[in-house]
Amino acid sequence: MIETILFITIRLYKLLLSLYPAEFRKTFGEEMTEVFYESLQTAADAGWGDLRTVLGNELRDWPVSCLRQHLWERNRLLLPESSFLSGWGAVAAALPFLLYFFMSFGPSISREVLLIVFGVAMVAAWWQRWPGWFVSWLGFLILFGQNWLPYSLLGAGPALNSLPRLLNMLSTVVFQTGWLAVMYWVVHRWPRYGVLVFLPSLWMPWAFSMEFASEAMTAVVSNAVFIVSALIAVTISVQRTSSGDVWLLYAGALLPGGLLTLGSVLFTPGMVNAWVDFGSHLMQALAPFAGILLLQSLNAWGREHIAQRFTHRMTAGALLMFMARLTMVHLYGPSGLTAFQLSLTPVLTAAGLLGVLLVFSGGWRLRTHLEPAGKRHLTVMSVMLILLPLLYYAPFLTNIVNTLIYDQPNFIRLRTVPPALQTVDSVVFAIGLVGLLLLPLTIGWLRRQTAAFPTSTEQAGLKAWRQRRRERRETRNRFGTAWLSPKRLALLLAFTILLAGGIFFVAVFLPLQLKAEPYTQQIALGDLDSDGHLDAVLANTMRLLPHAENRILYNDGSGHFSDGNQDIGEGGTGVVLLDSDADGDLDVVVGGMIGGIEFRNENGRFTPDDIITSHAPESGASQFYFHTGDLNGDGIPDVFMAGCCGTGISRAPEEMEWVAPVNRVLLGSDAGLVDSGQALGVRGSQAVALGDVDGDGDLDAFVGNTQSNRENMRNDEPNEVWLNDGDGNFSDSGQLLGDQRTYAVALGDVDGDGDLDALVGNEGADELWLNDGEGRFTLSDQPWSKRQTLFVFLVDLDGDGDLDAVTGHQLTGSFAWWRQGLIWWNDGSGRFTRGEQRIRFLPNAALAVGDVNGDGRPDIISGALDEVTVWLNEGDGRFSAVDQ
Amino acid sequence: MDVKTNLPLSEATFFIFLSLAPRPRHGYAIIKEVAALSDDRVQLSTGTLYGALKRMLDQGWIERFDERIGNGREERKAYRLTDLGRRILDAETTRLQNLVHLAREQTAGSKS
Repeated sequence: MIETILFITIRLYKLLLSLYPAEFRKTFGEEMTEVFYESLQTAADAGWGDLRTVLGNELRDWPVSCLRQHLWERNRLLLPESSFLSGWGAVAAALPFLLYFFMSFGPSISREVLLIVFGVAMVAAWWQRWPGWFVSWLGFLILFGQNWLPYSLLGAGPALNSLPRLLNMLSTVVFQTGWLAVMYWVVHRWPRYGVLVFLPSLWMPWAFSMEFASEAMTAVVSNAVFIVSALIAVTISVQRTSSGDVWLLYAGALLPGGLLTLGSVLFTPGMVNAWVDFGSHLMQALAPFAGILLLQSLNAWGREHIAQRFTHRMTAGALLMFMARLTMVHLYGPSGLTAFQLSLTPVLTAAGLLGVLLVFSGGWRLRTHLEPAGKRHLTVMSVMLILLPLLYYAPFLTNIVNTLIYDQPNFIRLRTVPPALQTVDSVVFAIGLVGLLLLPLTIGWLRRQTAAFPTSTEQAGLKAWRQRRRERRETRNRFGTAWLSPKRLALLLAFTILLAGGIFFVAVFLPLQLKAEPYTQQIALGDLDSDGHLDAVLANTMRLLPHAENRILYNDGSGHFSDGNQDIGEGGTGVVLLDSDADGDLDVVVGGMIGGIEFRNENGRFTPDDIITSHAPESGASQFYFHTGDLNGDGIPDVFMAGCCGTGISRAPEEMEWVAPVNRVLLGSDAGLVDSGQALGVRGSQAVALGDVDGDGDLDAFVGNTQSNRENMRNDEPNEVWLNDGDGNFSDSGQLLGDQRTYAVALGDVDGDGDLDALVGNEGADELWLNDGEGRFTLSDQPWSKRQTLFVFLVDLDGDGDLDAVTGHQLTGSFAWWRQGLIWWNDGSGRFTRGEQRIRFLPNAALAVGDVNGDGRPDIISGALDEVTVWLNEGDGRFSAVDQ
Repeated sequence: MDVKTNLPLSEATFFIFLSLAPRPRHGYAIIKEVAALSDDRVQLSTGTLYGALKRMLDQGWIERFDERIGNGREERKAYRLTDLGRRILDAETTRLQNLVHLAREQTAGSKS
């Protein structure tokens, strides 16, 4: 027993030792371990009390002694040999940032004054032959220039927002590069305080946090993350500089960007697409890192050991491959490729291959200088790294093959992703990720191995380069070196544009393309052909343009569906079935960007009727969702029409007015559905469930809200309860429930107390709101899925008399290929237990629940565009898929 | 070299000096000796001990050498004071003596 404890303790001790500076560890590590072991043994012989004392002593002292050792070694900080900027050059480079701050917090400066200031800077830069400090000014010009573009170029819709976002990212990259050049100069000028300069350099991530934080609490949390990460950055900078790698010091300073990214994703509720934002932030955090590599290579190329060049090359290659991987997993559509995405394939393929080439060329050159042990180490690492591009290509190629096979011009849906391929993908990704994480350690190890490398410039062919650099230094004037020759400037601009362009494509354009894919928003089940079986109506749309046709699929009674070849329009965001003309059969109402359209069922054929509510600018909503019921007690079904998500109306060239979405009530009559004229709520509703929540005998509405354009695009709109007076007139109950985007709502008495409770499917964790019987809801502590939930249903699946739940979720990351349905079993008291079975369905499919085979048990149906998949309820808690 | 510029010493460093004053010692022996000298009040962790030893080595106050143990077939690292180290210890001891003397004078005056 005691031996085991000692063994484990020593292992842990060695782990703690690894955080000491490398040189200290090398000198004293073994000796410290021996002494510690000896202390442990003596203490163990004396008893548990002494053992606890020794262990506590070590643990208590370890952080302080470790940090002290790092700080002690900081005195040997190696600094860049020269700066790109002179003192005046650094001041000139810093001026745009001072202007930026002044304009952010002080009075605004007119466009004319800014243009004059920039003109003066440009003339000075031209006079100085485009020196380094001009980079900051370029970023400044792009940042503010975007605000001066004609309004017509910017547009109002999400697709057109890409231009300002591109410019914003471009300015960020150039701005940060300029800022880091200033920091570089400060480090060079005041080496003793070099680390401190990174504190102000972190203002950019801070600005990001403010931009993306949508509420005060989020901003506080994000900034807390930022401050902690800043401290970590400083500590790491101190640690890394002891090894003499200045570029790592910069990388340490950039760490907050990455951590802030995580903070934003974790703590900002209701993001449109957290992973897209994650990718965007991450790449923005990496962009300056790439800029630093460029600066470093310009300044120090050939100055360090030859080995450093090769390890840099390997790092850059690995990063390139990993970014390609991120692109693949998070931003390419799992369900299809657009023509544009397909055309981008060669570019990404080249990027991936370039990464492979960089890793291997660097590794090969290193290998020739290594001892046998080092060669083995390098081989292992290289194998791990090569797995990254492999996994990058495998699923991607599958998608391309599908596209080519089906030979459709625009949008192709990936039919299947073989499970084996997914497994390989996950395993390879895990290994590759470990390889990437090990990369810094491996490179550090390699550097120690290659400490004896020749620094011979002849061998590296760098003598001529050094000569040229000396000559350039002689051209230094009081504004700093003219290191940005026209050729260099062109290269830098090209690099910047490529980088920003890459970020734009990866983080903005591709997601928009992805969002343009066709998908099924909602499925409604009902007996349309009066054969006694539930048929399916699929509301199909695309996120940007309503090109996907809605479908009616008829059920043969066994759960097999076939296309009914009915024309019920396109671009459906919601669908509801009701007998709107009171002729005894179900009609179809679909919602799209232009409002709700009623399709009358006339002997099995559907013909379009009037547009129920047109898309007048004042209506605001551009997507519509429905729930039906007799709202005014006249025996004819009515419709509650929820509207989302606001519209931008351009009333002047530089003004855009956001019009809030409203919900409407459509009352059934002999003439069909008629808009009652009520405008209910402005919070952007994407789900509604009707039910008598206050027990007064009429149907009230529980409305799930997503986003509105109040207060600069809120993503945290609470849900509302609208109470019916019995005549179909609704009034706000005043309740504001939750603070997340809500995509689905279901009402049902889950706890058997006779009133209707609400299950709410959210962007984050779902919620169960319990009714007190009078329509007042309180949040249950019942834990639910924390994934994005798009569908919820309350239905008695197992016939035990209580309502169970089915929820449908969008998966993320490597699992983004799928959506997943979960089954929750109710114990009768409103406590739910998640079932073992996972229902996997396509990421462009919707979910519905209904008895499609007439056995009296509710089944689960997913539908994507023109086909459905059915999971029949076996009655024993299991659902089995039916071949269509 | 003006040894006074290195004063005062931290308590841990001073005790390490004291433990090495009579004779050279290896790491574990220093820990034990410091504990004994301080009546178990100062329990050095390995991190604190070797952090201090490193700085003392860097300053040239102590030397590190291989000490033969057992039958002389095994070696381990041990530490001993250099001349500079002894001067530092003497200076610190003198400084502390002066402080104690001063304190006694002042407190004696206040009691009377």
